[in-house]
Amino acid sequence: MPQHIIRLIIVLTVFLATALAAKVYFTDESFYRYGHYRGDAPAELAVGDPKFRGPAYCEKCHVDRHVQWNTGVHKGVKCEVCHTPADKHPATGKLPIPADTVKLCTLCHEKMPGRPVSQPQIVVQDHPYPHEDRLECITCHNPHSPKIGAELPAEALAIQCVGCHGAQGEGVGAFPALADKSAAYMIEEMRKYKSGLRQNPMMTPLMQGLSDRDIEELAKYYAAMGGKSAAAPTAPTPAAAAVAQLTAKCVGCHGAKGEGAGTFPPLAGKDVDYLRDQLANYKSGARQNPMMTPIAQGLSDEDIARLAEYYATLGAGSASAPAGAAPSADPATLQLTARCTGCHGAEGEGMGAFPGLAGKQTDYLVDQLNNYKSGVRANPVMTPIAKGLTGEQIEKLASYYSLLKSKQ
Amino acid sequence: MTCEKDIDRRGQTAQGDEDDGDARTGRRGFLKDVGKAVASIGALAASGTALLATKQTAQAAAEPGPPAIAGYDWNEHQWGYGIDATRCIGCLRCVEACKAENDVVPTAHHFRTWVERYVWLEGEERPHVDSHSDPDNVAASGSEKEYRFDNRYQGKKVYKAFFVPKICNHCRHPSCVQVCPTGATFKTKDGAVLIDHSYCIGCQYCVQACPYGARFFDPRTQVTEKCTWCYHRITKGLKPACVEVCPVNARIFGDLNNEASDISKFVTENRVQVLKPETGNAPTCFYVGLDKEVS
Repeated sequence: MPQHIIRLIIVLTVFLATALAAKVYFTDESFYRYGHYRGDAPAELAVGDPKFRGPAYCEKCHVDRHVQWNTGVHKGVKCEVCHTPADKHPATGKLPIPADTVKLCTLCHEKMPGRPVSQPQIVVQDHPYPHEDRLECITCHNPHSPKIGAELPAEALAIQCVGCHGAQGEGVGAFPALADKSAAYMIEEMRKYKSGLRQNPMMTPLMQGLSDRDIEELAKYYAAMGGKSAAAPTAPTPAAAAVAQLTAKCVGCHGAKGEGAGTFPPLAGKDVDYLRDQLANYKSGARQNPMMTPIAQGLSDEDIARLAEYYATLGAGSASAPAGAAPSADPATLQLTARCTGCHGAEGEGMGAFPGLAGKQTDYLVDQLNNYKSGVRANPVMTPIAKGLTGEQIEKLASYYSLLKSKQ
Repeated sequence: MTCEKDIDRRGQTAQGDEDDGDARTGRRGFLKDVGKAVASIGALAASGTALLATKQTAQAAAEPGPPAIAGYDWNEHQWGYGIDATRCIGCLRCVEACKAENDVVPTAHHFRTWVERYVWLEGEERPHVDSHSDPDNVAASGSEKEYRFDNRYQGKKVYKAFFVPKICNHCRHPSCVQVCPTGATFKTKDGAVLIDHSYCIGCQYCVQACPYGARFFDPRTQVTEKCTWCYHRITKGLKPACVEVCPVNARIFGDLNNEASDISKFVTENRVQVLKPETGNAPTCFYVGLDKEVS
């Protein structure tokens, strides 16, 4: 065979062999695992933390506003739609509260051809502004529950107050009492917070989530409490026998004195109307629960009223026996914990960014509270609270929380 | 002498001719050699292919487990997407959410999902169509990163108008996957059409092949980008960001394998249609409330 042909054959063979070797060498090991693509790619694309975390994440800390939002017509508009994704919150600070509410709200509510008729829409120029000086939607509309005519009752709005100002607006530590103030004063101050005239890291954002009407309702609500909190109500023991029979159904889960246990909520000290309504709801089926529904259905309306009254008075009565779930707790200590539960949870279990206290060592808790008190540790919420505590109170609180069982 | 010489020469010549035939250096010989060479190269190639084939069959026989995604088995899911155009209010929260969730190029002209507005004015035969990237709409929002529809038809005599959200259709027979020269884009077993950016060479054949215009070229990374159904979310049991934020439930997502899922109900309880069925792409994005002009 002529030399040039042999050479050609050699060249071709070498080329083919090289190409084959290169293909085998360079093709990723996982390439044909599932098809004509790299088999590792799907798993790589599934990596990454979601940025939108959903309302359940927000609820952990912002219970109050979650309740307002969850019961209103804006339920479909999730928190992060207006407040931006919460993936780095609270680690990197607060999420924005939209400043230009007209711009924000008209994204969905400006009358526009193409929007379905079921969507509430306004012609911006024709929309009534009762407060001509402040053309903001949140003047009249609570952004979390905006429907006029379906506003939230003051009791529901007050959820965002009780954590710091106490259940009856009596004030806790550095947080001022509300029950002794006049409605006009409170309206004025709350509006200042809302408009930014008065600045406070906790009050300003809270007030920006309220309409003017909400502010008025809240002010009236607390003004009407005037004096109530000063006179600590003494618990008249209800007719014992009948009630004891009824409470037998409750104590197994809610504790001997209605103090609650684990996931079972406390009953003692709850509003009498609230307790009655909830039992009635369970009875009627408006509220569903596999344990509560059958129990409530076995109660007459009179029984329900008695039970509600009994538990409502229990909490207020400082004479009632110490809670069974926390043997160390005396009534004075329980009263102290009122300033903790708003953020650290009813059982000191912690909420969101607020750490759990239950089961921590007594010495550790004492040290930390003392650090806040002395200023070694600084925190806008903890410092004023700790400064309002005596050494003895700190000891009591620490031993109380150290004896509670940690849920983690 | 001359004659002898001639004879001799002829003899020589004749002799020479015979020699040629024996040595097979003629045309026939050459062809035979080439035949042999081709056969041997063919055999080599065949053995190579056979080697690869055995390797592949061996792999197939081993039946590879699902991709290593914690708590997720793609064999258990068949995702589907639904759009109820009759609910869409054109707020464009989906477009902004998608960009935030997936770090999409922050300009109005790069997007994985978008919303179109169709408006027929009285007396006109054809609709006016615009989306958030329309210059007037960008001007209305005042930013390339925030989106809103301007109110340009306010006061005009509108015969008919509606919004249509659009997104990658995650087709059952995706043309983009068919044309990809490197195997960078592929369809997963659970139904998503994804791009392996480390294999994408940025040739943009897929951008041209997609009948829905759902892909775009990312100028930052020089590779093609598209909707992934937020694969990092759905594999964790969450919904895609656009579905999560939609305030009117115009976007529906779920598992077609699960009869009780939102998407199964959406498909079975409504009369749904897909975009451009004539392409044979068989989208898994189902629509309610489209007009015939929408494609």
